[in-house]
This record gives sequence, C-alpha cells and structure tokens, in this order.
Amino acid sequence: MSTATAPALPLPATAPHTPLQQAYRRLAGLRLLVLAALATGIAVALLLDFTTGPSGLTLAQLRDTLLDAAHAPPALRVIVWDIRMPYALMAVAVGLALGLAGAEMQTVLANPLASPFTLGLSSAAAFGAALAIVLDWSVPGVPAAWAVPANAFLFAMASALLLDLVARWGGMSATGVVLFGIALVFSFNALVSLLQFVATAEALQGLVFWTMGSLSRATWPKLAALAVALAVVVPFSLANAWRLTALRLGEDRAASFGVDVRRLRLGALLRISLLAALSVAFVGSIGFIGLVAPHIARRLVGDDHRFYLPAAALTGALVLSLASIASKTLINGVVIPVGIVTSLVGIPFFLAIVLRTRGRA
Amino acid sequence: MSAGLHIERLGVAYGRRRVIDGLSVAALQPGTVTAVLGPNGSGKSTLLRALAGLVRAEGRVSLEGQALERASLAERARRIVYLPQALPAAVHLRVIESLLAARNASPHDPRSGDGLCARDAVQEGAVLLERLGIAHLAMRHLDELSGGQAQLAGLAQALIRQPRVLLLDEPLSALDLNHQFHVMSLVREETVRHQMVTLVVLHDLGIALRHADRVLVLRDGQLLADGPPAQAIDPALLARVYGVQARVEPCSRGLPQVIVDGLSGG
Repeated sequence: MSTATAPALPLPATAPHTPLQQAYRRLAGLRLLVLAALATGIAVALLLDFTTGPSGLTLAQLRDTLLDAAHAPPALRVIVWDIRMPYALMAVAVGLALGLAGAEMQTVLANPLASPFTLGLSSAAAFGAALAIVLDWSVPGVPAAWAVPANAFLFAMASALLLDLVARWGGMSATGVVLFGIALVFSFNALVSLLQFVATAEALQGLVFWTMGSLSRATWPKLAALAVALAVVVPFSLANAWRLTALRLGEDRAASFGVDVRRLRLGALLRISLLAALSVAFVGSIGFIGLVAPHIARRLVGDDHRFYLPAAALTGALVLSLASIASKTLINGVVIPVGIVTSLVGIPFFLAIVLRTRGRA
Repeated sequence: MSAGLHIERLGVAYGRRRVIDGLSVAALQPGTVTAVLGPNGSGKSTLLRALAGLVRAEGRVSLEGQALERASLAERARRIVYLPQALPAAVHLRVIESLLAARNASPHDPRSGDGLCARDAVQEGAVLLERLGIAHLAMRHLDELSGGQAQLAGLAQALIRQPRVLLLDEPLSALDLNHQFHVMSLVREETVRHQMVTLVVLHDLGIALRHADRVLVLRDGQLLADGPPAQAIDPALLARVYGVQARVEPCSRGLPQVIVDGLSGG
C-alpha cells in the first residue's frame, strides 16, 4: 500500500539542539538508575525476608543451607526451602503482578483509583473461596487441596471478563467501567456476607482467615504458576508501552494517533485479570499494592510506560516484600497476615490520593 | 488524482439522532485553513471526529484520490490527526515525551521502534518545538503548562506525525487574545509549510475572518454556507445561524468585522 508521507522535517546539518538530546539522555539514564535501585532494594528486602521469622536464622546459616542443602540440618532445610523461600519469593512475585496490573488498569481506565481490588476482582475471588469453604462447592475434577484457589481464580477471572464485556459490548466509557467495578465489589461482598451468615463456626473461621490475605499459603507450584504468568504477560505489556503512554494524553488523542483504544483496553484487562486472579487465588486479598505501587512509580519515573510499567511492578514487589518483613516483626513471634499490614499502610495513602485529586479539581 | 480532501454525503447518527446529514463539501485544498463555524450542537466537532475515523460515519471521504472509509484506524492516523481541546488532568509527561508518544503510538508506523533514547525522534521534536517557539518548554511537565502553552504542545504532538490533514477542535477556547492570535498564526504557517488540509472549529467570527481561507458554516448538521470568509459571512447568514442582528463592516484598515446589534426578532 502506498502511503503519502510528507517530506521529513528539515533537520539542520549541524546539531544546535544537542542540549535537549543531552537532557533527555540524562533523564532516561536517571530512570534506569531508579529501576536498578528498586531491583537492588528488592534483593536486600528478600535477604531480610529470608532471615526474618519466628525461628531465628542468620545470613551464614542461610548461605550454607542454600549452597549445600544436602549437608544442612534437616530442620534448617525445611525452614529455608519449604517456608522462608516460597514465602519471601511469593511476596516478590505477587508484588510484581499486582503492581503491574494496577499500573495498566489505572492507564486503560483513566482513573487513579482503579486497581484489581477497588474494582471487584478480589471480592469476586473471596466469593469463590467462600463457596468452596462454606458450601464445599468446587469445580468438578479439581483436587480438594486446590479447590479454594481454583474457585477464587474462576470467580476473579469471571468478574474481570465481565468488566471486559461491559467495556467492549456496552461501549461504556472508562468511568462507566469503574462504576460497574464498584457495583461488583458491593454485590460480591453482600454474597460473601450471606454465606458467612449461613456458615458453620468452623467454616466461618476458615473463610475469615482466607479473606485476610496471607503469604503463608505460598508453595513452590503456586510460585511457579505465577512466574509463568508473569513471563507471559510482561512482554505484551512492554510491547504496548508507547500506546499506553499515548493513551495518557486522552482517548481521542490516542485514537487519532492510531491507537486502537478498545483493543488496547481489552488486552490490558485480560492481562490484569490473569495476574490479579492468580495472585488472589494463591494468597488471598492483599489490598492496596495495586493502587499504591503505580502512584509511587509515577512519582519516581513519570508516565512514560517504558519506565513506568517496570517501575510499578518493582515498587509493588518492594512494598510487599517490606510488608512481609513487617508482618513477621511487628509482634514478636507472631506472623500477622500480610494483607492486614498492606491495608493499614494503604488506607492513609488511599485517602491522600483522594484528597489530592479533590484539590486539583 | 484529485488533490485535497473530498467529503461526499457524509452522515453521522448517535443512536436515532442524526447529527450530520448528507454533508457534501467541495474539495478542501492542501495549504489552506478552513474554519468550521456554527452554534453549539451544530455538528462541528462530530464532523472532525468523523473525518478522523473516531465515530462511525456513512458517505465518502477521500484524500488525494484515495477513499478513507475502509482504511484502518492506523492507516487513517498516518494521514489525519485530530486534536481535541482538552488534556486529561495529572499527566506526568514532559512535553518532549508527549511528542515521542504521539510519534510512536501507531502499531505499524515504520518510523517507530527507536531505542531507549530515541535520539532522532528527540531531535525531530526539538526542531519542531523551536519552530513553534516553545523549545524552552521541552523538559517541562504537561500539567505545568498554561492554556496557550498546552495548545502549542498539542499542536507539536500533531505535527510530529507529519499529517496530510490537521483537525483542530476549538483550539482557542481557553486562550487569551494574545495566544489566540499566536496559535492561529502558527497554524497558518505550518499549514502552508507542509501543504496540509487544515480544519479548525472556531467560535470567534473575527478570528475566522482574519485567519481562515475558507469557512464552512453548519447548523443542525447541514451545511448552510461555504466559501471565503468575507463572502460567506453576511447578515442574513448570521441571523439564520446564530439568531442575531449583525453587520459585517470593514474596519479602518479595510478588514471585515462582525458587529452584533442584538438578537434577531427580539
């Protein structure tokens, strides 16, 4: 197909504009440095997370057990390989997933308050889990041990697809999708309450614990599943970085720059659903990471999604890793469910965003 | 091959409401600025959005002899750029970054795919910003800009895509007198320089008289007048379109001016 393109902009032979190029290079370099700093922070937090817990573990013991598992005392081996490692790595993986999902969601729905949790995905997952815990209802063929996460995943995915459908078929605006998501939160919360009302005392306890969101449910197979999901999703997210950045300039402007906004939004919602649904299914509701991490990332590197998406993912991982350490150290000898820690930190942050948004309007 | 932009029997409906009805316009020539005038709700913005492919339209639109109605969004975006008036709040992008995003947004754009620093693109943006007189704003954040500066930044985003057709939706509505004049002068200059077909939605008849080569006057989605501004804008038209009693008289320098005396019939 022939395209009539205008002659290229006349570039002077000499380069009198190098100051801008230099400034832009500096900016890009600085942002890469921020990403590197976040990654280093995660590495340090991981080491701390490995060595923090009710039973003490020194760095030297950790190193010996990691490098030479066969000769390590069996108790240490269990602590390091079966408890600390999956627990700490799960914090990082879930943090990456929720940070990335939240960042894409805020961009495609053009709403700073959008996150997998404010739009009903975690409420839907809780309802799925409640069905398994209270009524023993689960997908046929799923092993009993996986019934709760399988149900949670199914419902989170279904609610995300419902959001997709509303966005696509309803021709609804971004605001409409957000309002629909909030309606989902209330609907599923009511359904969970109904199940709680009819539940036995024992089932009620199980359900309450599940909804708290805890990394103690981490296992190697779950970690592997989430890692595979991340490996599949991240390249697609990054491939859309320019389009997502253009979308920040407004839907019409992006469309007129050639971005198929509906397709971009649908693709992003599918990626978000997969990451959020898996996270919720494996560790329960861990609130506010998907909301807070994108805001911190935006402050750090701005809205250029080539930097913003990785920064949001890394920030999510760092925050959740730190929350995981805090959950083990706040009360001596007790591991508080990490969802409680992130929510307590997240609520003031959430309010600050709301107040700032109001101040701008 | 016929030059310029042709619009034949263009129709747009939102549900059952027809916003534009069988609109045909004689070829809009490259290198000219056409002002689109009319009262609120007359279909001005819808016309621009339909030309950009942002709303579904019937009829024929062709550019330089090529039909556009079957072109994909990306193909159309390579030749036509539509600039809405408003920018969303709290966008953490610098002016130069917004130019890079505008340039690299299309999926099959052969020019995209620069490395991390996108040196050529940055250079291209620098030249453009210089020409628009806002080179000093290149590293400023979009949400720190004044209304006039933001319009110029928007214009730069559109121009870096090197469009054949430039569609500007009320670019002057938030600007003071000085910036209105400045922005329109630059739009004219760039239109001539790149031989673009430029359509601008305007409310100010004085600006249209002064800066446009041609005006299209719409009411209820129909074309009521089409021609050079000094000929098309007359008291009868102003009464019919805006419901005002008005005169068009030359000022002391001979330029036509619209003077409104009151509401017609009142």
